[in-house]
Amino acid sequence: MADRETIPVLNVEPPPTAEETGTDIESDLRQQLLITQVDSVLTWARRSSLWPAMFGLACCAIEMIATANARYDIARFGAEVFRASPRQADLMIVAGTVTWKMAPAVRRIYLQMAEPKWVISMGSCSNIGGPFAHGYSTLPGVNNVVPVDVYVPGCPPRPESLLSGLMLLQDVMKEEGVLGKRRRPEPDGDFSTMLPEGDPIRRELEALFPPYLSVSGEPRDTETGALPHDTNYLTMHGGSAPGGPA
Amino acid sequence: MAYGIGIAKGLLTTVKHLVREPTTFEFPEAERPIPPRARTNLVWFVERCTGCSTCAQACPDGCILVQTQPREDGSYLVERYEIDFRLCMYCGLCAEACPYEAIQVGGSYTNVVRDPNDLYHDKPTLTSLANEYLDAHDWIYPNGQPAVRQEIHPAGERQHH
Repeated sequence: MADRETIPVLNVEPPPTAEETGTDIESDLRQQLLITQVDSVLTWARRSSLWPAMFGLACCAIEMIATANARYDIARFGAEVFRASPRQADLMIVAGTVTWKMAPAVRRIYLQMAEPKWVISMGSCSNIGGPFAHGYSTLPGVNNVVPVDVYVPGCPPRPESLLSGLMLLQDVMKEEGVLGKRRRPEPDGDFSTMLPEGDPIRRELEALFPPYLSVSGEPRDTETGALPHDTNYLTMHGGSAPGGPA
Repeated sequence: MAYGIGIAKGLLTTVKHLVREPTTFEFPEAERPIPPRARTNLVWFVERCTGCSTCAQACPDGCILVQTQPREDGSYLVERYEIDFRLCMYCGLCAEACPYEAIQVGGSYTNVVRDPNDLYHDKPTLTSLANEYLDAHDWIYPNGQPAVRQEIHPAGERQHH
């Protein structure tokens, strides 16, 4: 795609056929009127019922709770259903200081959420580390662990700031659409400049980034995604659950 | 005989809540009044600043950068004034320390961004934010003093000479 865009205007080659490039269904779909209408309806539905995952890491969580109370009433934006399970949540509000000890848990919660998912970084601590940015125990910005859509400054941000962040996120979702490209930068999973070699937290964090090797470096099962030492339900029964789909 | 009194009391509470003022502030349309000592965003006014760097010395995070140049009359020209709002913990110690109340608390809540580097504010950004604040608040500083309505030079140079 990038090569096609950089062709000088005077030397335009005929666009490559589907056999040359492989069919690019997404770029074809984006042009069609019906799909764009469905896209706008889907985006409206998504941004009007963002369910946050219910967890708070520090004092910012108190302001997050205050945002859900009647005085500010985050339910006006359809985001009042704080889910106790990340499987049911669309939005992760990282509210507070992310310590190195908590970072693998935050990354794991993010991985457990179902796509599509969005992340709001709330407060100076989670934005860049805040007053602890040069400390030994705090992650310098949660964007080293999860991709962040919207940053809300404050220490802690007042509920109005969090509501502004939520409204900005709704604008972002409207702009990106369902088929659009996500513009947030993905973390690269490289902690070599922050943690020493052999650090247990560094090994645990790196196991949570692609290619998702185990902590000791063993590959996962290609079908089930299980680690070699896992004895979960699927691997116990030879890769397929009895009574379920084969 | 006493049957129903409890229900009636409960319904009375319901009716009271039905007719009273709602507690919700519908934020984008209606803003809650900011308490006078709230720790909100910082606003920096170039026309009040003398470049003494007391704010930068008072900042526990070290997120304020001041660079000055002496003028011929002995005052300071503030060449750079930058606040890193990524680090700032909004403690308000700079506003307490400033002898001329050039940096004050009382900014807006809508400074949410998509790129954290947009939170690093240099002098022109701070000046335009302060002008926005004064425009929105009838040219009265957050501390209640009236501001002189004046044209701020684009580079933020003081206009008192």
